[in-house]
Amino acid sequence: MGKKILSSALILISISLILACNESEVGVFYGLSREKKVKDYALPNHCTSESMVKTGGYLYVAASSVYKKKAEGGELDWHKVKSPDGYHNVTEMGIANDTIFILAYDADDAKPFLFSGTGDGTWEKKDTSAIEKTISRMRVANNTIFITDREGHLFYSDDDGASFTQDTSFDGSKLFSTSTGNFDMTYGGGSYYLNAQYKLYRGNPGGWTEFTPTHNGKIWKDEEDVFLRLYYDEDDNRLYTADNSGHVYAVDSPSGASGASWQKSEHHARWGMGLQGLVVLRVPTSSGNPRKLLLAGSGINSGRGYFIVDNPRTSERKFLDPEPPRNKDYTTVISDYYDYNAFDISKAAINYFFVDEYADGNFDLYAMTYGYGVWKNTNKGGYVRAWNQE
Amino acid sequence: MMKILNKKLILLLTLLVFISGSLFAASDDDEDDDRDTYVESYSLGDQMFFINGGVFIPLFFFDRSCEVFDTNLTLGGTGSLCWQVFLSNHISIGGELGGMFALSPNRRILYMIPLTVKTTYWFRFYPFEIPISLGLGGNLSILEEAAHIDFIAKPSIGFFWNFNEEWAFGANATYWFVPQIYSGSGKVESGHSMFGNFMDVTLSVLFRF
Repeated sequence: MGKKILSSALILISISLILACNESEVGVFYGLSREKKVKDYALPNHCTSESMVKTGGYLYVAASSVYKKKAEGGELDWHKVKSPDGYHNVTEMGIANDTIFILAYDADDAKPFLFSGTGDGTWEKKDTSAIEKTISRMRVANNTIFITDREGHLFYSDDDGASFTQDTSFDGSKLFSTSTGNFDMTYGGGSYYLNAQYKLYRGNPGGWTEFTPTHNGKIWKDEEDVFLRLYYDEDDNRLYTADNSGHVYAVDSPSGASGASWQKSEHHARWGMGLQGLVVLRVPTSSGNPRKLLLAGSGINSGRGYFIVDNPRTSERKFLDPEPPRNKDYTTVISDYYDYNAFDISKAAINYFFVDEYADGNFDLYAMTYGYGVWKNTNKGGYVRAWNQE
Repeated sequence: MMKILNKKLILLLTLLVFISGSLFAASDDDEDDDRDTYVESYSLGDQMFFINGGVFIPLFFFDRSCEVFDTNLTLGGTGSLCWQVFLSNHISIGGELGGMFALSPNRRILYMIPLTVKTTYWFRFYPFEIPISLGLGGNLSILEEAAHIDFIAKPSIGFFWNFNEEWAFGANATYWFVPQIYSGSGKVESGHSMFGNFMDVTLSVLFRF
């Protein structure tokens, strides 16, 4: 009896194996005999990235290592740039006066250090001795380098990282009390804008005033909400930010002397997710009038791609409103352009958007994600755009 | 590529010549021993078990027109379990289940799992033994989503030192001949048929019971 069962099992296994064969259209040995080593110039599919810069006709992205390729569609392949000797895990990148600045960790991943270079693999370690505590984050805006430490202190350098000064001019000597506080910086219209977790500031290094969105004289966000990214739309002279509840805030002419009037999206992003990346695009259309779109990337805990707000300027406070879009997802509003649902970027948490503008007005949009690689949205011709993973 | 193949062929032929020479010499000695005293070491029903492990050496492929191709594989690893029973003092038969892996240029892993019926003739020069074997059976080749079951022939030669009546230690060199034939009736066209030629060199532990 036992032998019969064993025999039957062996026959079944054998049949299964035979049926499982030939899933490929290429013979096993034949395929091996023809195989050539493929040089893989793609970025790692599961890399995390949150910064990209453009200088000297090249794009540079920080995705654990630094990668570069020719900008404006000049090259499809990314090439790895040598990391500083003895350092790795490049987490952040910025550009000041055509010099690239990166944060790279030491060999045991204990601390990040600041380096500068021109993108050819030669890096200079900067003197950050003025920053006594471990460096946490870096942002570069208007050629000024900003660094926070893990205790929430802010430092800045306006001489290409040669020296750093601690900034204590804002309300309190620290931006935030923990090492994980959100920090972002942008520049536009003659002023810097600083996100310090629960508050926003406006001003210049060494001279900040609070600029947290208010409504009827009160702070507009919920008390526990924190601000995430900042984005300044130069063409519209408009500042955007978003919070971790999925609301978007906007203010016109924010650097004006008179009190700026903030707008807040009436509805927040679905699932109550935080919004990370923000970017305003002007997409060419067949009518000749560019279509203005605000893209807001979903945060790390949600991983839902991004939301699109069609014409955020005229939508006023209605932006991120689920009506009138035809479907529940805002993204379907411009599915003609972005084919959102067809690509896996809909599963990604997006840290940052970067626009690579061409001389003719065309552009490539890059989305840097958390653990889901870097994606490029490019014109495929005839006003049709599509996403592809880089 | 041809230079590499030629080197491999020369290495293979040298090895075969060496093996053949050793066998003829061994055979003569064996006959001399038989004339002096003859004591049977094994008898019908005596069993033994081998564990083998070592290096897998890809040699070459050739197609139906006998054109030779590089395997493009790295050196790999191999191992097998073998059980045999003696039919007489010099002849044993049994089965062997093996496995190997090697990497392609793009780090794809080729796995092969041969299951063979194995017959062995034993030449003896106490405390040494030289087994010459032939294994015939089936072989499952797997490369990512591609898989195929083929016939396999595995001639081999070994050299063992008897530690005691139960345990022996040695080494084997085995040739793997895998004709991978596609009929063209499935997804893979018949022109993809290739004849795989490989070799392994293993260390072996033998236990008799």
